[in-house]
Amino acid sequence: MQTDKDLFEVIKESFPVHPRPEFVSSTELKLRQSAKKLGRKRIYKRYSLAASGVLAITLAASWLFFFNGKDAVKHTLTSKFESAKEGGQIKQQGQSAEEFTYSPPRQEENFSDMTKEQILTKMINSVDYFQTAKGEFKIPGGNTSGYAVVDYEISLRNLKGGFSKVINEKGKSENEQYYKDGTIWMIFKNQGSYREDKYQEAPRRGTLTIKDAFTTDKNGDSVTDYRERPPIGAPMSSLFHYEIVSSLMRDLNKWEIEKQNVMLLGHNTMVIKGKSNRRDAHSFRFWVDKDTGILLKYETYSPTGQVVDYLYPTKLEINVPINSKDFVPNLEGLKKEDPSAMEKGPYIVTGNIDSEIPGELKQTWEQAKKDPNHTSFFHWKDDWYFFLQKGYLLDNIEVKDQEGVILLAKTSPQKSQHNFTALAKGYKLSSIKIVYENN
Amino acid sequence: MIEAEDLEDRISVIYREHYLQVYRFLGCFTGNQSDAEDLTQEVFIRVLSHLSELDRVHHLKTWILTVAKHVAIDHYRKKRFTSIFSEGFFKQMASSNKEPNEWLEQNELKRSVHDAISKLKPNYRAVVILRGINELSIKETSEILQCSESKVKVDYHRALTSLKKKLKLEPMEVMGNAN
Repeated sequence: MQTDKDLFEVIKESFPVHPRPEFVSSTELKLRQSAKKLGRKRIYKRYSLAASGVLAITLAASWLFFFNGKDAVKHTLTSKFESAKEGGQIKQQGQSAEEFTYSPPRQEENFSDMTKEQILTKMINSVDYFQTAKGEFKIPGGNTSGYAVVDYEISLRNLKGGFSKVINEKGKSENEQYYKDGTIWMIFKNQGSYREDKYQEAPRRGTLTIKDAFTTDKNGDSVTDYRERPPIGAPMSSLFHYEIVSSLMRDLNKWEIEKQNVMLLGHNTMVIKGKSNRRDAHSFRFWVDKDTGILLKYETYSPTGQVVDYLYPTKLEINVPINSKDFVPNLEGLKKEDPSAMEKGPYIVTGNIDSEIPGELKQTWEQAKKDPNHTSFFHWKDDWYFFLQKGYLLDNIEVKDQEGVILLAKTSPQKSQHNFTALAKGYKLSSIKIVYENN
Repeated sequence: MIEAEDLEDRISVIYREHYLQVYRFLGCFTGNQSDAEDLTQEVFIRVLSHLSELDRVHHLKTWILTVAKHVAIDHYRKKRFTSIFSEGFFKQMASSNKEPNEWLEQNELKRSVHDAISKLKPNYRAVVILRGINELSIKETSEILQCSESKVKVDYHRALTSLKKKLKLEPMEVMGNAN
């Protein structure tokens, strides 16, 4: 591979850069259908809003003037704040105007027998079957051989919001995600920074049937529709894992109900097992909470039956009281990620660096340029300035302790008569060694 | 307000004009055809939901690729903690006619390149793909990544250096030096 261009040619050959024609056309069709629905919804909304507005004004006026409405409004404004929605209770905590607790109604376990269709429908609509949740589970830890623990809380209906924390096996929180009132915070503990984004809550849809969720387009390709879900992060793989469900369970003939009722962490679950033709999930087993559709536990297996992936819960509490203050992170001591800011730390600048040469080095630099067959370098504060002999360019700098190894690569034949320069900024080195690519 | 038919036609035109760039970016970012397809769809669904605001967008191409970048990075972060569908070039790319060993034996370089790209940090991956595969300018890349042009240059250089190192393209030591 002589040049960067060659490298990118290989990359283009290695990656899927040419989409399938059937995918292109099915996606366009899907977009047009979505656009049609969206257009109709907007027109309907426009007329509904107008009609509702007129009706509301008429009713409010009647109530105020004919049914003692004025007295009722006055009483409400002067009484203490308390609200009961969907059977639960919201209370203000302490003196803080920001802190409220919400206690949803208790959720009962489901012990009745369920069919395949019933459990699958519940799994793809799990967002409808609980109001709050607090949980913790263990999953494989990314590229390492260890594991990670995910700890979370979420509220879907009242005082909406949530957080999740990913904790490594040493017990240290690595990443955290919070969301509340249209803001998401992502906290990168290892870097001591966070990112803040806005989000728009998706409108709540009605129950998605299996028939509507799993369809095929005219070319026979699978098309999947998903319900809405909040930006909770890692816990999606348990609470709203629509992808795994749609991938492994859309064909009802490829899985079976192994056990109707198995208690797990105080929840009555159904155990499902099935096979797949995926190389990394030859077969699987799911433990599904029967009253919520939450994927409480799962394992996938290799062809020899070894567990290759898992989610093991250590806690799941449904419809327990939550405190809204927990959904806002403590950002003290964390740096807000500013994409426009330059990264601190050493870096290399190539190209013509003449304008970067400090005044104190200019004369020496000009002298060095007169000898094209010799590599020269100069040190000023934490910066190193390189004039490279003909036919070489600076490829990389490896640093060990405070010694820098400057790796020079040969140029392409077309540029072998050129001299290149480089500036290594911010490298705090006490000595350097120049190493040339093999002839 | 855009009427229903206008919406359909507009999204069709926008999709046809930009799907290839978006797919290429997501294909190289995820290394996975199935993910690239799902995410491409998601990008344009998001574009559709913001269609009414597009009159205020000066550069549609960079805006759409910005959405693609966000979708890719969200997907990357989700996948780090949802390892059931681990990234695997041959898992998705293999046709049903070939056995895994045939793919593994074929073209070791492509596999190395794929591994090297997938190990790059998401920001580096994005800049390498936008500059090298999508062949966007520094200015366009900086708009998409919402950073300065200098940062794009620096990140691009570092990303390429890291890639070459992973692909063992660094120079070998020889006797003596220029000094």
